[in-house]
Amino acid sequence: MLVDLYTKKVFNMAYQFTGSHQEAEDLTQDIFVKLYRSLDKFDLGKNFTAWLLALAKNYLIDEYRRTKWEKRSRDDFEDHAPTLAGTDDPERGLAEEETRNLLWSGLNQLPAEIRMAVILKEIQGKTYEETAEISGVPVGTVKSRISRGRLQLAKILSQSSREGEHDM
Amino acid sequence: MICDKVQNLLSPYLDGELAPRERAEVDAHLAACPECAGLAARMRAAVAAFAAFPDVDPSPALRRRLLAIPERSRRFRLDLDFLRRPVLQPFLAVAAGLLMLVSVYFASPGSFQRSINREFHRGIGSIEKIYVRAGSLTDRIGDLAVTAYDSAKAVNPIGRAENRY
Repeated sequence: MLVDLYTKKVFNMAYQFTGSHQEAEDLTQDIFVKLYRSLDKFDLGKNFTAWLLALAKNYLIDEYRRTKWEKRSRDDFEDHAPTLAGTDDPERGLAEEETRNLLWSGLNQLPAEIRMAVILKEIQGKTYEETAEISGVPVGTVKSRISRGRLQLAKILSQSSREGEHDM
Repeated sequence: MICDKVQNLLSPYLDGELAPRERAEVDAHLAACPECAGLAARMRAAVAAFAAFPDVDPSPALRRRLLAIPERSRRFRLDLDFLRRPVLQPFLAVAAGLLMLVSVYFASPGSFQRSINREFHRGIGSIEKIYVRAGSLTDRIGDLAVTAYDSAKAVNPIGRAENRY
């Protein structure tokens, strides 16, 4: 039951954080082993999903610090993502695809805690409060991390746009 | 407003969390500064693009691996349960102590060997000093014996008596 309910959530969190499908599957397995060993520590009065995602987040960041994933390249965005519905405007579609690719690779340039906050808030659609609960920090800290992450990614997009203009 | 300050406010600006006066100041700056306006537009595009990121499906093999975990985990726990028996606790405590000593030795084998060498040479030095002192003592005893013999010979009451008669 736990596997059916939570595999996709944990796997996607790991995939978005590491950028590697294979790595994410191995880490998901490690996280479930840790989950089974920690189940007796779960406080029944609390939100299980938030508790599990906090456990997963802690494990991912610990592994990141131990192995330094940021030095590895991420899989291409299109390698595993299902095909997105295109727009009628091909030029706009190309621009959106380029933005997605830049953001996907740009995640690797964010420090671990900021990257995780961006993944939870922006990609997984959690609220600031939910992100703070999973991250184990105050809401203000999450807002600050999201602000820094957004600004850094916007600068990456701006720089790419300037380089594109230079090339033309 | 300077660009750095505005750029740090762009995130709450997009979230609609700025006070009206601050929001008006950011609006005024963005109208006059193309660079900050460009950043704001790209930040908005990034937020929209992230929201459209699709979930990725894990492989069916992962599901099978995950379903097999509880059984393996339980087997692993059973195998180690015997370690919790109270009768083993004193032995485990001694083993832990020995392991600590061994780990201290292996953590710093160089300094451990150096300290042994230092103590060994210090011991050798002490023995040499004792030997030298003992040698000088025997010399002194020898000198004392010679002096005593010479004195006795010089006094020699028996010899004098023999000479007198």
